[in-house]
Amino acid sequence: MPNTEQRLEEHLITDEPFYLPQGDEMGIAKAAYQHTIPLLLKGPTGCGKTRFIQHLAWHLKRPLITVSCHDDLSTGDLVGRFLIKGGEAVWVDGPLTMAVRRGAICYLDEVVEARKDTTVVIHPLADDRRELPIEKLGELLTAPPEFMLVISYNPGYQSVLKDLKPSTRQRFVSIELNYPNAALETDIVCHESGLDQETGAALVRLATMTRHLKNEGLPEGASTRLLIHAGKLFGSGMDRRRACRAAISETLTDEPELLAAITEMVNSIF
Amino acid sequence: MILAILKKRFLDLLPPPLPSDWEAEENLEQLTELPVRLQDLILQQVPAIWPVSNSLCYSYLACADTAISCLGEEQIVNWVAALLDLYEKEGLKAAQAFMADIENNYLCQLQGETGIRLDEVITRLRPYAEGIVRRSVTLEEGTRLYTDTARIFLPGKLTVLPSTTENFLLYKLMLTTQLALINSCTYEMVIGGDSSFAQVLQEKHGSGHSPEQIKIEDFWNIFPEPRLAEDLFTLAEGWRIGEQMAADFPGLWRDTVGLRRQLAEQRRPLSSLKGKSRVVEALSLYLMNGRTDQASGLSNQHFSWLTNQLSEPARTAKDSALKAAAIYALLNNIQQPYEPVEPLPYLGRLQPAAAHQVHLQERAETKEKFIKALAAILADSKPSTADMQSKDNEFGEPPARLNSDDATALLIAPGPKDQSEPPETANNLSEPSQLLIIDGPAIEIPEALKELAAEIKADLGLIPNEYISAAHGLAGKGEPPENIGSDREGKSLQGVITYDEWDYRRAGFRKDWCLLNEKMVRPVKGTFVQNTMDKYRGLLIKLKKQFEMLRCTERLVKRQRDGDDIDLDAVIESISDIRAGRSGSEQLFVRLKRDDRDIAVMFLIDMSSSTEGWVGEALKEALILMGEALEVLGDRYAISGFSGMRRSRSDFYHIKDFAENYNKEIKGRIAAITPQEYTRMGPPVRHATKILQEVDAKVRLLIILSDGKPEDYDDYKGEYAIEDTRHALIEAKTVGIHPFCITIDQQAHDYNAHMYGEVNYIFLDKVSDLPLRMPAIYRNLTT
Repeated sequence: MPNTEQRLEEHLITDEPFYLPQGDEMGIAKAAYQHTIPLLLKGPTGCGKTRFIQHLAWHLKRPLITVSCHDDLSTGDLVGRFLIKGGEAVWVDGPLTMAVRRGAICYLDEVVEARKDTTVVIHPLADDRRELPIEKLGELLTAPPEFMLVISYNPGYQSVLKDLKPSTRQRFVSIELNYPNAALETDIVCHESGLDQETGAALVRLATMTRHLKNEGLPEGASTRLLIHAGKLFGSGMDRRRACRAAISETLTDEPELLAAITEMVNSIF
Repeated sequence: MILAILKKRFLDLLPPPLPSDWEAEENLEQLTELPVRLQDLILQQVPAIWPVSNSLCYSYLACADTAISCLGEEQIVNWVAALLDLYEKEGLKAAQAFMADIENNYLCQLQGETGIRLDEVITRLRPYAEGIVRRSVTLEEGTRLYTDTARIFLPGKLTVLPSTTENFLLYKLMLTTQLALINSCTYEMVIGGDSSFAQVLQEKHGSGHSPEQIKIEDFWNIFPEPRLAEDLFTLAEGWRIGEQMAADFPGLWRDTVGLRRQLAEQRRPLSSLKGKSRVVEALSLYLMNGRTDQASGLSNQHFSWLTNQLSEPARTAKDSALKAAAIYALLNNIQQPYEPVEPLPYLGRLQPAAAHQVHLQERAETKEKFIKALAAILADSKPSTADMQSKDNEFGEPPARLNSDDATALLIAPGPKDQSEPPETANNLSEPSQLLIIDGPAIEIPEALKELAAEIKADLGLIPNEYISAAHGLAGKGEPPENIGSDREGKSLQGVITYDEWDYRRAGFRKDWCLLNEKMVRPVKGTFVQNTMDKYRGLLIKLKKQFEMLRCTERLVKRQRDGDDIDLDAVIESISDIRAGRSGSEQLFVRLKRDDRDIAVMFLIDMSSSTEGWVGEALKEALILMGEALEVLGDRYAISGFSGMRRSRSDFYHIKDFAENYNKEIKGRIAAITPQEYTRMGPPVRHATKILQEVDAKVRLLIILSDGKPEDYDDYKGEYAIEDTRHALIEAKTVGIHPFCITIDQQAHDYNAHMYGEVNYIFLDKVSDLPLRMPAIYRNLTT
């Protein structure tokens, strides 16, 4: 299918995405790829899960197909469906089928957001069968060794409705990513936003403070991504306190008390 | 002055018509205790107030004492004038309110309404503090500014600066400084008594006192003028902390430059001080406004030597001690004795004694936890036959082989299976212990115990033998037989109920074997509930949200065969399928589905003495949180506790009925839950089953919270107890109740799965997790 071929081309990452490893996650991922074991990424929002996968895809030279999962995601959205084109029904591959056919990396981002009946379609694909049945075509695809399935989720939500079933999670090799340590995070923030080390370190310090606020009603503190946003605002010459308010405090919470506390932290640091 | 005289004087002041005698007496009574001078002062104002309003005058008499102590005697006239003005403008209520809140209403006005109260800003400062330090610190109102490392005391009100913003900033500066004080480990300073520095000091100032380790106070006391040493050390620390804050919180440091300068200007003029005090004050000013040209009374050259000395880079509190000693040496040449100057307004005086108290308390808590954790391991390593047979040892001395310190050793991490290394004594430990050897096979130490051991070692340098022998004692004895025979809690509710007990040996019931009393828990008043709500404020908000979501029982279900509306996605897909020559789906509707939650749950709480302390608090906290969450959710629930001693007295405590509303009374009863006696699980489970059976609900849930093995004073222990508990739970299951056990223990036991059933229990080793976990467990169970 030339169409698919062409569309896949767009998913090939040619420039190395910036990624500083936190630990041995690269080694684990490569080994899992070698042995055709699917990968489960856990970690808080904005800690670098997606970037890690991009880097992995670049390293393995495989196209990366990302699906952001949501609660209306149906099996058809993943596998494919018939569409009517000019009075004729045409089968269109979904992202998962496309990745299986072409040996790409399929990344199901925030997989717990998808309905449980949707996630079961990956079951035969995620164990040693590595098969994807396409019911409507009566086809059974077998994934080539290059195909890799990666799912990610954020265990911080702590919701019964948003938890992976054991039967799903036990098919994966898991990598837990967290916010990087302060020095590493500073490097990342500086690299991504172009800030100097000192300012970068100050941002990381602020983030660490907000991450202590779990008991005060802030389940997740400022992520590395937020810091980079703030850093970029700094870079365009915006007043630092204002930038932090826009990029960090207001983004984190709507609660007036917490907002005030975070603002005080910002004011103490910048 | 006796009341009669006071009354006469009072009545003499009044124009007719006079109040009745008893009325006058009633209102004057509270003045009788005051000194005559104050009584005169208070009575002087009466003629001004009485004609305006008699009621106001009586209110005034009630408040006057507080007003004088708060405002000072000379202000009372002005205060009364303001009071009368307000009365005439806004009436009696307003005037009474004005009097009730003297400090805020009057002092603020005096100072132009610029003050700010701690309770206005505490909600902002608390999370701020939480963000900065890792350990939990509470903010409290205090007369002086200081921290004991667990609490930070801030003044209840700040009015020293001209604007509200600045006063708030001062609060923030004070708080951040105290937090920095905690973070920079000032109170942990220890100088080795044999270090050359200490020896030089001893020789020079030697007060003869030479402990092995010199702590902050010891350091001050080396000097002939400890207060001078203290103030110099505090200044040096102030500088070190200031540098740190300038680096870590440059924004705050910059914002407060002007403020610190203003505070410096408000201090006593230097010219009013002499000698050492003047120099110390000059140094204080230098720290506050950074100017080196203070009129210190010393030559510029000398003073700049001092400021240079003070501004040397310092990494630890010990560096500050060195600085203080150096400056002290110079000031020592000045003859006049030192008169203490005011401390830096945002740093205050250091309180090493208070910090030490907190430290000791924490040490004691760690010790207790360690001993209990170790004891649990030791107890488990006993052969299980001991449980049923060796009754002689029940409360006597532990078996000798367990009591010998030599047989027990905490090994230095030699790799998990290496037992060939000779066991070393606990004192030689230099790394976290990995293994525990007790007269036989090595047992791996659970993570929690390892952490405790590391904590103790960081504190004391070693694990004292005493800790280990105490653990031995505890392990040998089982739980101490506390509270035997005491009947502290409320009255019996109804007659005694009898229950059978399962005897596994005869595979049958012992008929009417146990007697069970239903009792009421008397509610207690106190701050426990409020403290819990405060402590978990954040969690509560989250919990309520989560439980609200569970309550949300209406949802649209897609792809139904029939329903309220057409599912457009499904229809399009179906048409596509049909066009493609395949049969289309028939499930083309969306339907609004209502899920009714029809759940009744009973929480059955283990109130045995073994829950004392470490389990009890968390358990109660968890119940409060559950109560709050369940109120949102609307599930019916009851809470009961159990304990007892021997088969003749099994107590079943009512804390909340299914029918009762969750209110203050219930909260008080939860707070009143106290450890009682033993854990005979069978009868209360059977009784709870009976109660639940009478409740009409689709799902009936019995959640049991316990801290380990069931055990009673008599032969209800070991296998017998486990089998009886297991049987009681099976009985519950057979009548359609879902039992679920949350067991809190240092480590999981093999018998748990057998006793509770493989999937019907959850094991928690960190009791502090309970308040967080319990709502989550409940949610999992009921969705």
